[in-house]
Amino acid sequence: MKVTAGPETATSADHADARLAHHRIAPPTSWSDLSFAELWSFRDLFGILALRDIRLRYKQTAFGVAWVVLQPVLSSLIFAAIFGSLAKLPSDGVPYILFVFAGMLPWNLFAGSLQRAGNSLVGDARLISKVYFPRIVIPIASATAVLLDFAVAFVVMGIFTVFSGIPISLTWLAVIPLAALTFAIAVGVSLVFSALSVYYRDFTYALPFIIQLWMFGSPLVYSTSLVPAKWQALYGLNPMSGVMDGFRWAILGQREFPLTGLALSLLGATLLLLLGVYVFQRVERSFADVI
Amino acid sequence: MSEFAILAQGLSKAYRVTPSRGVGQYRTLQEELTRLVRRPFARDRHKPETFWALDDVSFQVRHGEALGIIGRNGAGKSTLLKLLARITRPTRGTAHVYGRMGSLLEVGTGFHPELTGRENTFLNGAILGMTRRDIRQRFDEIVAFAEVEQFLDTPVKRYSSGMYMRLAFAVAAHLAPEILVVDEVLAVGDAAFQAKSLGKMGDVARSGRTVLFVSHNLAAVSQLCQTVLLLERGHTAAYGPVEQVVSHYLSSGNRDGQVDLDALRGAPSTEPVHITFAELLDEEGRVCQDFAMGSDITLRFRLHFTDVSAVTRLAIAIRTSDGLPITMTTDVDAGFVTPTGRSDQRIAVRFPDIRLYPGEYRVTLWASDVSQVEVYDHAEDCLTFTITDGGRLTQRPLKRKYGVLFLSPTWSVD
Repeated sequence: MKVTAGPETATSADHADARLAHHRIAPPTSWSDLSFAELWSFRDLFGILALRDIRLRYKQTAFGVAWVVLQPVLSSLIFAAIFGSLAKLPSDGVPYILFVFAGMLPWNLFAGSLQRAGNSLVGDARLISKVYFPRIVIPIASATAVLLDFAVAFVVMGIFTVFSGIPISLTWLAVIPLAALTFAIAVGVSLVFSALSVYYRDFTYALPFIIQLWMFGSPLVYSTSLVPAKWQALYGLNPMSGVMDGFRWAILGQREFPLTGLALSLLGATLLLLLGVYVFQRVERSFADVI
Repeated sequence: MSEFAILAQGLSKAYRVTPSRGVGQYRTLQEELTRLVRRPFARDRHKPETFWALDDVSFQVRHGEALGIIGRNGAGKSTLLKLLARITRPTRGTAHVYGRMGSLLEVGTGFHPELTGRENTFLNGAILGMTRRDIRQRFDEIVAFAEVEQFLDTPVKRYSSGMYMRLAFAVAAHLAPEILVVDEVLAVGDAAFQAKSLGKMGDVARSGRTVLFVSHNLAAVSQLCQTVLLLERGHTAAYGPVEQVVSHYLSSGNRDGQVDLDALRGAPSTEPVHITFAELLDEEGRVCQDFAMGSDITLRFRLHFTDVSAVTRLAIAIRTSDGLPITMTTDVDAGFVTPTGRSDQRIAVRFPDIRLYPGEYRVTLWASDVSQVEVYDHAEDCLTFTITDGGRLTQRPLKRKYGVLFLSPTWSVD
């Protein structure tokens, strides 16, 4: 029997509520799953899930939220000791610790999002196999939770800078769009990894190494100027190198505006986001069957 | 706006089953890479077989109607619910769902033990599709219903299981879905809680909300639902008014005193023990369905152990065709223990001198864990037998309305 759901005439008065949600359940097609209207209706879930991640993170730790400050400060100190004092890497004419901290702001936002979001779906497997909501909310919310760490680290950066006598300039405002760009790159890559780790748990184990490798391929402990000229073009393909140079320009003001690098980052971010969303919604349809 | 709440058309869901790995298990990259490297052009030896958990199922539910979904374990009921709830996607077919769908029994899914009651209420509400504003508006009501006011800022891992269930249930109940899904198989909590939630569901059904009710309990289905969908191995075996479908279901079990439960199940069982086959035998060991009163009936069934060390308890129940329980007997009663160590076991249970009145009777089998808490397998009404006449005991016509049990007292002048 053929049943159609065209405009109905026999609407009973009891159910005249025209706002009744309508869902069409059908086999997946290539882009059909992505509904921004639906994502919008679940907008509160982003915030609530991100809040959950933040609350859970430092439960039952002695230092609690202090870790948000301790983590970047401690790693900067270690990097400063090893790469600044021992290896004496050049740092664009500012104290090495400031140099590395300015790079660590976007890097930790990227790496933290990737780490948390990458494993987020597997962590919420029970939820995925029991209730429906747009799955893309989970990795994005996990990544969003890392924005808090970023904000805190940014304040620490401000304190560091003031104490070193570097004036805080208007270019600091550029940190907002730069952070947005970093976040976009992070979300794009996170979507790919979170989706694939549902199918291959290998990605869960490979992720820390990939992050580490990516870190050494990005100008975190060294300056972009250290990269040989003939490799610069290839190096610029890493979208993180552009934003990290951008952060150093905005905060430390010691170099010229990295126009090419940022243009490449913007392009990279757009492509990665598209790729992430595409891969995610391609594989999302069968999460509940395999997770 | 449609007059229907659900329009399902040709819904089908295929799973790929790889013989050595079971259903839907995730692969490791290594497995696939080594296969590619070793034999790049060879076909995958574990070529997955397609298994249709649901095959071309169509039905409609009007607003305010209660649809019952019945069928044996593995018939596709849960798959159908998962499709309608959008947890997984169909392979073929479409469905239109008008209204928010909510489940009353699968509550507390989104709860996180480390978070407080307050935090979990918001989290769970948001997962179920409520906005922060919706939840804030109903928050006091939810908390009052759950009776957890003093513990709102305590992590739910410190809640008693009763408090936990009450809060979870309160959130789900205040979601006020337009379409309520109740899967009895998923019922959790103690008996009192189950009764409370089923009671709430009855209220909802009577209040004119649309209800999908999945159950083994035919009496409850008959009471609540006007229309019933009977699934068998993923197919629609019957669909229509409740009386028709229920009687079809009851008569469809088997026709020759033998039932291949594995074939009926469709989806492979994931439990350590399951019943694969059952049959009824007469005194000569022939498969039989018609017996005379006073004869011996042997029930023989096969168990398959996926875990050969699993210890199982078995139970057998006999009911009349209209559902009156006659007896329930277990291996414990007879001091019998199913030996372990073999993947297949054949068990015979002899009922000597059966004293049931002529009529139709149904047999239900259970296999559970040793504490009889977890049911490994449950073959409801899997066999039917008929007592034809008085046999060697009496030539008098025996009418069912006079009783069920034939006794042979001794008579004397005293």
